[in-house]
Order: sequence, then C-alpha cells, then structure tokens
Amino acid sequence: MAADLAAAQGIQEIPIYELPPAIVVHGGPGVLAVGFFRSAI
Amino acid sequence: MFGEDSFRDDSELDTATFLQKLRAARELPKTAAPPPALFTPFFKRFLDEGQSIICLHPSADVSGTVRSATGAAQDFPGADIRVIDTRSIAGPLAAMVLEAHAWAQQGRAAGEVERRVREMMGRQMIYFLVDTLDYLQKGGRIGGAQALVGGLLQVKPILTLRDGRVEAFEQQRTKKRAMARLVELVATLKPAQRGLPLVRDACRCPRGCGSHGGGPGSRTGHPGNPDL
Repeated sequence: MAADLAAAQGIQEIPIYELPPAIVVHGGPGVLAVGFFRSAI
Repeated sequence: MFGEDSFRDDSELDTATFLQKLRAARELPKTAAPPPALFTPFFKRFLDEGQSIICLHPSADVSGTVRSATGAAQDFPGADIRVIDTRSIAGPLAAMVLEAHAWAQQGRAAGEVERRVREMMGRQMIYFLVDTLDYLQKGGRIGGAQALVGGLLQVKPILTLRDGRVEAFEQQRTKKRAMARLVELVATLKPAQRGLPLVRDACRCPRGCGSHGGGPGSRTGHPGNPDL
C-alpha cells in the first residue's frame, strides 16, 4: 500500500510508523491508518 | 490497563507484548490519559527556564489528555502554557508535534508556532481501516460510526476523524479493496507534496513500540517545512 501511495503521489518514500498500544486498544489488531495534510490553498 | 495491571505505553509495554496480551485477554484492556501530575514537572522545568509551552494533544473526543494537561496548567496561573486540542490523533498529530518543535528550534515565537499548528489542523486528514468495529464499539470511541455496528459482517469499514470524532466514511467488501480505496482517496484529496502522507500499521510490527528509532521525525525528512 505504501508503494502504491508513493507511486501515485510521486513520492520516493512513504513513512510507515507503528501505532501505540493506546490506539490499538480501540482499533483492534490489524488497524491501519493513512494520515496526511491537504495542500494549502 | 489489563485488569489490575497498568502499563505506560511509551516505556513499559512494547507492541509485540501488548498484542500478545490483547489477544489472550478475557476482557478488553482499558486506557487512561496521563494524569495531570505527569505534566507538572515538565511544565515547571520549562517555565523555570523562562520558556513558553505549547502542548499538543489528541482530540478531546477520544482522549482525556487535553483535560489532564489543562488541569496541570492551572497550577501555574499566569504562565504561558498553550494547551491545544489538535482534533487529531496518530500520524497527523505526530507531524504537528514535530513541525512545532522544528519551528521552536528555529526561534519562532510561541504565537507564530501556535498559529502555524492551527493552520495545519485545518488541513489534516486521516482514514482508518479496521478488521472489526468490535474494539471501537466496546471502548466507546465509535461516535458516528455507531450506525455501522450490526450491519457489517464481512464488510471492511473505512473510518475517518471529523472534527476530532470517529465517523464512518464508507465500506468495502475486502481489506484489499479497502486499501486500494485509501490510495484513491489520498490521490483525490491532493496531499501536500512535500509533507507526509503517513501510513501507520500497528500489527505487523516485529519490533516493540519503544523501538521507533529516532521517532517519526527522523523519517519525515522535512523538519520545519513551512509549506506542510
């Protein structure tokens, strides 16, 4: 998925981080998130 | 907290151990925000150094951290402590913290750093893919996605944060399709090219949560980017 995102956005590397336990408690095993910022207008 | 046993997730419980305990637990663990007393020594230290404090926190709709920090700040009347509810979590929150730190290191005034952070808040986007809504439901964090409960069997829901609350976005038939949809969404919404996006996946982690290396900032590659 990171490779697909990188290719679609023309970005060399998409950082991949681990969610902390405090979030996985609520999302459950397997939770995955994509976060970003829209371009400033 | 697993039963009567509590752990700090930044230092006392790595992800692998946590997942092991989560899968084996008879009851779901609970979470608790850091108490005000954890903030106090940091506030005192920085104020003694004559610094302003900008404290960035997860959305108050899913975490009690803002409340704890606000409580701690009340012990320092008149001090320049800016507790900000970022209405976010996870990657976007981490990015804002890192950018704010970089701007502070550049010598920018607290007011400008706060203004820039608030500008970023208005552009943040985050989508979640979960294997099941059970955990969100049982933890009371499901908010506007509540309507999906009971209606989904094999469907994979995509969730988002809207003004700090977990909301349903749409659903896909399979996880593979949902992941492809996330890629489409990012393309549609035109992320800042020199900024993130971030992808976060909790559960394929072969390492502990304490082994983030230099933290997210070591991998974003754009410290203090004013365009982010």
